[in-house]
Amino acid sequence: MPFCNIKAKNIHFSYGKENILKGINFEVSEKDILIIKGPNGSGKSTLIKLLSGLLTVDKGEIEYYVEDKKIEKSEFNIFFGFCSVEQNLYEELTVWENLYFLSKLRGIILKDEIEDYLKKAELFSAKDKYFKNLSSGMRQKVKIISSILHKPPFLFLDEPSTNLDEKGIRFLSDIIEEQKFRGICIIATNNENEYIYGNKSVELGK
Amino acid sequence: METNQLNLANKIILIFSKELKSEWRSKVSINSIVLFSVVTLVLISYSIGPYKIDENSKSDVFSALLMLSLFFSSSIGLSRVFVKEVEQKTEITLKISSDPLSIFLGKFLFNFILIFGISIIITPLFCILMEFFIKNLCLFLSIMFISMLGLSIVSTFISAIVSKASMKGALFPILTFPILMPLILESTKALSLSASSEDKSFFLQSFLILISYSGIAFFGSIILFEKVWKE
Repeated sequence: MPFCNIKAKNIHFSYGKENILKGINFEVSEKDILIIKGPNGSGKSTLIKLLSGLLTVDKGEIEYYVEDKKIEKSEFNIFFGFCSVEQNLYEELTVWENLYFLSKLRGIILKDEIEDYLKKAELFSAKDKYFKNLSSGMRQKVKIISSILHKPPFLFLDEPSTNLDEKGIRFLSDIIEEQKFRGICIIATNNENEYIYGNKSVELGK
Repeated sequence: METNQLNLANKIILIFSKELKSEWRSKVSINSIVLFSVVTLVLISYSIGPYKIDENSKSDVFSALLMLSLFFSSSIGLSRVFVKEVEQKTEITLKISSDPLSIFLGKFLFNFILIFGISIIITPLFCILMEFFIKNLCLFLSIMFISMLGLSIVSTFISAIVSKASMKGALFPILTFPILMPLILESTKALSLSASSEDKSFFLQSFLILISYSGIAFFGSIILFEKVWKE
């Protein structure tokens, strides 16, 4: 497993005049699972978007390292995996086409890998179904798979157990466990059942 | 990491193929562009027809009408390329999976093929219905090609801006019209000249103006796109 590390230093972020995040600091390394806790509107999703490079901090700095090499913005799409409730996959493409497109875009064309994950998620029989025809739980599992196919050292999950049934939650647990041996996982959630995954936490909105 | 970075060309083709597949299955842009173009054509041919305009001004009027119909068709169809990513909440998925340059170029390529394909179908139909005979077909098609190139570059970039706004429908033509004005005026003039005479002397000047416009629009869009897309 490569050495990897995220250093968040004095992060500030606001939407217009509304300050969402003020002076957030933390450091996580490989095998760490960081839980970002907090009530609704406390800035959990904003923080995870900042960490994954989807938003830019107003003040402060976020640094990422793999094997002592600093990861640049242009490399985020290879090193980062991201799954959020606010995100969707392509409705007009099938499950297989979505996963193939997103993994190929990152330079990975491992059809066996896609098949394995679909089998683990009990979605293999639905691989040729259009994404729009899937249930909300099935969609969530496909989104989770799309975030880890390229084996990213940094995985960001926003409310990952949303819409998942018991089997889906077991699948998610396996994914998070797998991520421990690949690098870092950061989960934003206010679901107490998801707190058990973490060994570190950041609490927002205190 | 066992990843091999795909080169830019492969990423562009991948994004273009995804757009094509998506569009082929939903047919939202194709249907709206074709429907708008055909309705415009029928209306023009019914109300103006081939004989209501005197022979001397025929090529000017018909070239303007053809460009106008293609401009409004592009307003309806080409604007969807980024707007649909926001509407379907796939914007984050695309942002996290690829770099801005390949996203812009992939989508631009799709828009260009779409509008050029439509113009290839619409132009002969227009010529038949309006009895509009082009004297210099080769130059006419070259001008059409460069015009559609400029039109699709600007439309793709403005689509990215519009996707961030709340009034998506109204904003696209408002923003594109003033930016596309020089292109539309020069294309109309050049199309009219290539249709009405066999004289080729105008071509070099028009070609340089149109290609310069497209070049500036292309590099300007590439420089600004990352800022627009990431915000």
